[in-house]
Amino acid sequence: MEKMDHKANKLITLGVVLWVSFLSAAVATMLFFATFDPVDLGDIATFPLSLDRMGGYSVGFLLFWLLLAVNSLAVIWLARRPNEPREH
Amino acid sequence: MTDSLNKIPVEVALYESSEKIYPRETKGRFQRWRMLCVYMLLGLYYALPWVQWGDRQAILFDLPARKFHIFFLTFWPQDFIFLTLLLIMAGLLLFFATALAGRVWCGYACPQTVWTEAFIWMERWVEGTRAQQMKLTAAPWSFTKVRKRVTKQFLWLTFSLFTGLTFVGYFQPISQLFVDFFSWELTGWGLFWVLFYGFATYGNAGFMREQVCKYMCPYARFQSAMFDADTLIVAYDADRGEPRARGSRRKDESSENKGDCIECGICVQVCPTGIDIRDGLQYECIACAACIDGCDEVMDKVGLPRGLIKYSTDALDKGSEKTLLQTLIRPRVIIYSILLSVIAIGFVTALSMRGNFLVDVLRDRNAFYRYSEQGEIQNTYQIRIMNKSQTTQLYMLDMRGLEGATAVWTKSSEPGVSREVGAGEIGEFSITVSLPETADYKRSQTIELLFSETVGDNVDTIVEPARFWGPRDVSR
Ligand code: SF4
Ligand code: SF4
Repeated sequence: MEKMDHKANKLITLGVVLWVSFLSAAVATMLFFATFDPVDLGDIATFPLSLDRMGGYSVGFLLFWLLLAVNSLAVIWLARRPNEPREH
Repeated sequence: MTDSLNKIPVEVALYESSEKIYPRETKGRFQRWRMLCVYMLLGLYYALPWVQWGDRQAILFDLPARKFHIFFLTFWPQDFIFLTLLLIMAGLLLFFATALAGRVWCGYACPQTVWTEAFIWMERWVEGTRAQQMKLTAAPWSFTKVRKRVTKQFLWLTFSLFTGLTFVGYFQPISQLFVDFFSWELTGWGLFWVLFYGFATYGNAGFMREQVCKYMCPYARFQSAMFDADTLIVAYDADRGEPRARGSRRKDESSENKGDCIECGICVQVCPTGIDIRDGLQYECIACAACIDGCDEVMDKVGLPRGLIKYSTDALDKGSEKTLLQTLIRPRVIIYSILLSVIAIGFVTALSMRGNFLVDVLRDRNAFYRYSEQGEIQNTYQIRIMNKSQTTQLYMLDMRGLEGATAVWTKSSEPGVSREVGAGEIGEFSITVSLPETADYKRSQTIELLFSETVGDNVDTIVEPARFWGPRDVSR
């Protein structure tokens, strides 16, 4: 771990982000789709959207995942204050 | 770290520049237990979706139908609370096990461990022992090397794909899934998730391995919060082992200064996370006990007593005199068990009291009311009845709360007629509530619709409130 180089460190960060957001997305998907049926959502969408259930769950999950991953990455990026010494 | 251990060849992998760990195979009592657990869990995972219950798959999280089947139980989205409770119980059980026995979960049951172990078997089977594997990696590319690497990858990929297929088989009927897959007819999301899960297995068990534990697992990070001095850990007996001595120094009879550790490095070679347990407890240690077995074997060979590395607790190491029972029964353990039992009892009670059916009532959105040919005021409602039981049921309709009004299933003239809903199905009906013009009514009032089961000994009734609209307030 001591000798780990910068690139590896970044990859691990990315891995952690993807994994944590994956878990959160799974929880979000469960809560969301236990409450709403994707078929009904397709019916009341403001633009034409035909969703079968598997498609609905899958798209929902992937969207949650993307959103959470982007969010986490942004947090990591911004949380490192500009005046902190940079690692590279 | 000792010098001899730094001669491990470096295989720079994409994800990490750290060294690939080639755990050495160990045989011993704990490894036998581990193998047993791994076999059992793998067996369960691959076999369970093939078990039938009546005319359906026993365990099927039927997402397309929004129903979860677990043997004789069927859960609906409305039963979400049960799923939540189950997850909470699983979490508490993990806390409980951790407080009692440390990271047994990691060493014996975590999917990460189980699948990594399976992948390591395949690797050993093709490439041989630790030394042979390392030699192969260092060797220049040759026909044998290519053949071995290709075989290994083929095995890994096939196994991963099979794992992915099985995973999806928990969500859609597995026999059909296999038929579709092998006739190249699986498309869309099903195929996507097969490949997704297969790839995740391949990556986690084939390449990331111990790094998942080190860098990605939340449990590995917070387990220390569940540890105390009485938690079972894998520990090296430094008092007995130090100072380490090997080779000539060990043979030197005159030297007083030698501990039992012969510095063979076996404990480090067998460790799947590549740590040296002799440096003390580290968060990387997944308590797999491989080093215990490895060391015991060495101790047997050199004729020293076993247990230089052993399962122990911090308190015991410090010379505590507690008995096993005293170690087991302590506040942390008691609190976890009480919490666990309370939730478990609540879960079972709620489950047994769970009704056999559910009713949704929706008002017809098109009109508040209309007049029938006989001049009655009529409201119509859309009804969804979910029959959660395992048998076909007939439902009767009744109402109360409005003098003179009657409720009938739409398009059936006589009251007293029932509607049928199959086991585990949802029936959609429409009902009409009619009130003679001559009765008293308000512009809007609450009525109660009654739905009753009629088949079986334990018939239930559900009362659903609804609004009934009239043209104006009338009281005579
Ligand atoms: S550290 Fe985490 S991933 Fe590794 S074995 Fe333990 S629970 Fe599983
Ligand atoms: S130190 Fe021992 S028990 Fe811990 S992970 Fe390594 S081999 Fe397993």
